[in-house]
Amino acid sequence: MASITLSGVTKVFGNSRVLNTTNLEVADGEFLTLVGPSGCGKSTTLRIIAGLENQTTVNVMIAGKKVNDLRPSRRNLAMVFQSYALYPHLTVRQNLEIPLKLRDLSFAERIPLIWSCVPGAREKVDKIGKVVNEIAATLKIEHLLDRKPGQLSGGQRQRVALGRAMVRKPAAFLMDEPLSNLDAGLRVHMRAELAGLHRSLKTTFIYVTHDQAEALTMSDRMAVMIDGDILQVGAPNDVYNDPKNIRVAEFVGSPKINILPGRTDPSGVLSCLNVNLSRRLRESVAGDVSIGLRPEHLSLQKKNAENCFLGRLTYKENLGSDVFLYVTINDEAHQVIARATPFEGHDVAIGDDVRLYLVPDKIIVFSADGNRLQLV
Amino acid sequence: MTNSRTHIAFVAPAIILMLVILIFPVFVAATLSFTDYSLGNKTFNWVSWENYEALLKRSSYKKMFSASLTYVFIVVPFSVVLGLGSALLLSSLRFGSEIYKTIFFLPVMATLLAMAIAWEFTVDPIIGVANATLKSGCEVKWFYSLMTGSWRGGEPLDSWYGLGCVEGMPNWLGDRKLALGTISFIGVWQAFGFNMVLYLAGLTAVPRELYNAAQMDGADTAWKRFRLVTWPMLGPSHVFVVTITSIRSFQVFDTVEALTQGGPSKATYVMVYAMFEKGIKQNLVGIGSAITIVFLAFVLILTLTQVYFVNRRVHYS
Amino acid sequence: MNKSENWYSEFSKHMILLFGTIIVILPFYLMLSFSFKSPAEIQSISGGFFGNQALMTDNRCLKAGKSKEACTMRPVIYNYSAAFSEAPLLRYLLNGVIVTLSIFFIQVIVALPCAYALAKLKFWGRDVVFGLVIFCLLIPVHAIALPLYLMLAKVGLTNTYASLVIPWTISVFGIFLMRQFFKTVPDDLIDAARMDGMSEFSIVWTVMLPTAIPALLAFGIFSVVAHWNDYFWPRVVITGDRDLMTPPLGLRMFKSDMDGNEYGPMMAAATVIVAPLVVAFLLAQRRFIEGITLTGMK
Repeated sequence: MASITLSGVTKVFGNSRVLNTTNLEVADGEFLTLVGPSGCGKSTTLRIIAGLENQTTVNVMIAGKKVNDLRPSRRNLAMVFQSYALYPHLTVRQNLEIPLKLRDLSFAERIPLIWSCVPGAREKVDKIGKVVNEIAATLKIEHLLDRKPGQLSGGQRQRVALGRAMVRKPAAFLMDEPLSNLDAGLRVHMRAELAGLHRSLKTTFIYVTHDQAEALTMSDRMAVMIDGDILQVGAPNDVYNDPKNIRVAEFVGSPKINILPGRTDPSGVLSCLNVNLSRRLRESVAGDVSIGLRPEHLSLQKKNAENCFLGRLTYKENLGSDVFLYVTINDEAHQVIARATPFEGHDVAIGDDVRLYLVPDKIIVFSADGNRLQLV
Repeated sequence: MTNSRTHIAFVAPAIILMLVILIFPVFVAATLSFTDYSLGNKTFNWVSWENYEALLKRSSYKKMFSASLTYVFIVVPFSVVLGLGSALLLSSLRFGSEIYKTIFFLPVMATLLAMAIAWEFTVDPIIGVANATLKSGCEVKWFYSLMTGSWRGGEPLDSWYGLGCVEGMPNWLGDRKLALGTISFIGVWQAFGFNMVLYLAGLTAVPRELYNAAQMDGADTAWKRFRLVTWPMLGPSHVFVVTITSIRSFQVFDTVEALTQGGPSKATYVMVYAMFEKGIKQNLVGIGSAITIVFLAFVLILTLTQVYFVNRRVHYS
Repeated sequence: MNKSENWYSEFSKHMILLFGTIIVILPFYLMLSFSFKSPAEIQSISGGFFGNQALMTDNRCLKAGKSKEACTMRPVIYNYSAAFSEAPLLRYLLNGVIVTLSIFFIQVIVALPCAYALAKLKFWGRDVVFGLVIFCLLIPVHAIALPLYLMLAKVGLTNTYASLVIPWTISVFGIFLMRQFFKTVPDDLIDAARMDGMSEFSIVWTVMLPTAIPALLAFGIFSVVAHWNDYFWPRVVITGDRDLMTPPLGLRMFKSDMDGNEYGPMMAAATVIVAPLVVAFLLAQRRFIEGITLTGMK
């Protein structure tokens, strides 16, 4: 178990810098998710922590110790790969044994037949066998131990890959999109199981995903990474409700946050599409701003009231528990999505003129360059 | 499904040709191997197993088997190891691998007979560059001591090189002890580029994540990763490369016919050449057919071994 | 790992590979070099790669009664003109082209319909036919050479173009390869063609053939290279008649007829024979490597 600290990364691929200055601290025992769209540099960050990526400009500290010059295997980390990376020619048992054998046995002790002549080798091998059995029992894969990876289903391979990471009892687990090759149902199930595993192991987890839902559901903290920059690190709720940057706001949350153009007058009072929002910026700057509104903060309104948009319903997406209403406002110049209950959704039909109420407390304002602006 | 009979028109030519050109001759050869038939003779006698007995007993045929097998056992390991080695080197290069790949593949492309003659001139005792280069090395102290082993206290004249400096360099194709080695060298020269390309294809099929996983699991050195990942993952390539090279080595003919004609004193008397010499040149069809059948048996065994391995061991998923 | 360590290992890899390159290139280098040099330079191993190109007099030409001026030329001119004049090299090359192309065309004409039937038509005995194809894949050409030669001799076909082509008319490998390829062509395409009223015959040649061009090209390269370079079979069936010889066989005759100092012209002939494939290879490497390693699937 260990804390992990990254500071000052610049990873250059060819001519384009993919990873910029990045500072990241992961506390001991924490489940941290690195989340971002594909190509944002999150996997590279993970590989730098693992030591798989050659680089010179970043400091990686594990448990307070600088590990820049340590080989991947000496960093006492374990990694679960997207494709599981199980050795296809070895049985599940052998796959689980490999990390321990490579670490604990000497060269002679790994040679078939010869090892039994080396004093003390038998005890070591027995011990490895015991550890493997324990891990297999934890993951409920005992019945698969003699099969080869090719004979397993995706979910079973996933468990074996986890098992191979667990046998060494590493200081931290690194997971690179481990669920993305599973089908939807299994993925949701495995989320819960991974979270449970983290609770029982109490080890540091660094988890890379492009799926913001995984980040929101599983992690203690999430780090949102876009175009090589870590834009925000925080608890999932904080990142969702209080995004520091328009790109973070747009990435986190499904359906996507609605972004509408707004203005501030010289006194700092906000308006959006000619609707006066009766809110003021803390630091008054006159000019154009972007206003973010989560779908759940827009609701259908029967009567005319303050803070309402008029629009036309163009599409209804019925998810059973919720209905998402696609509404164009201002003569189809803008489209917003609003969440409604099934009951409310039933009342309106496509093509109807609707009135949307926005909750003034919940609006999130960004400056023209995308940074968050605080309200009074 | 169509009710027409078109398929007959489609497959009939192929079937007829297969039967006449491929299957029937095998039976002809098998039958003739029990006779003393000669082309031009009206009749022939059944000689039962006589031809096969000759193959087992006569010293020239013992030399034939020994030459063929020796050739195979030199060419296969060398061309496989060199093919794998150069594939591994090329795949780890930062730049230039395409150029080497092109160059190493040239011998596979080029007309072997022409290149065999070029090699003959290269190793010619009089006009050959090989011996001229070796000879000029006699004057270079460090090279001389390296080649003769005198740097570790050996007697220079006990080594072939020391002797060669005094009595003239070896006659690579004319010397009974060296000819088969020289022919094998040309075989390796021609074959390894082919194996390299097959191994390169095999290497690109190895997932990169497996190497990362091996690194995380403690395979620190390139050798450990090779043992844990590369070697087993190349399983299908190994089977294929080894059998293809063996079968091709059994079929060696061009170099032998052009350079040594089986000699000197039958040192390079390989099977296909023997079959050609006996069955066609000397019109001893019976014995030629017997060699044909034995040759076919060798190749079939190799192919069936390949099929066995492909189906059994190396199928991972 | 630091940078200098990396560069050191890169450098040593290149050293090993350069050594290999020298060995691989050596015979090509000598072949070209010999084809440039005068007999004297070849004998004395001098003159570098191109030789000095000092004027030389061709003795044969003098004996033929021509003037001294007409018989004096640069060694490179002498070598290449001798290659074409002393042996019917052009004829050999032409034979090579005729034989390799006829083999390829007949192989396609026989194999394509059969492959189509095996891949896309359902008929009684299909599996048996495919089994026969697989079985024939096991038979190496050298094993049928002697009986086939006897059969051709019996019908008086040795020393003809036919004898050079007939044994190769059936390519079981081609059938196998094209069948595997046709298996990947969607049935819908064929059904659509049938709906349009095409006969099975025109489906093969107007629908399947165009889709199979890439596979056919690879097979073509494989076939042409194999038969251009083949020496064994022409050696068996062509005895004596120079007008029927293929390039490798012609070169071999050149070698056995060689008296004294004909190294230069001979290597010039070898260069001319090797050059077409090597040049084609350098121009379209990827396709060639693909085509020739096709045997890998065999």
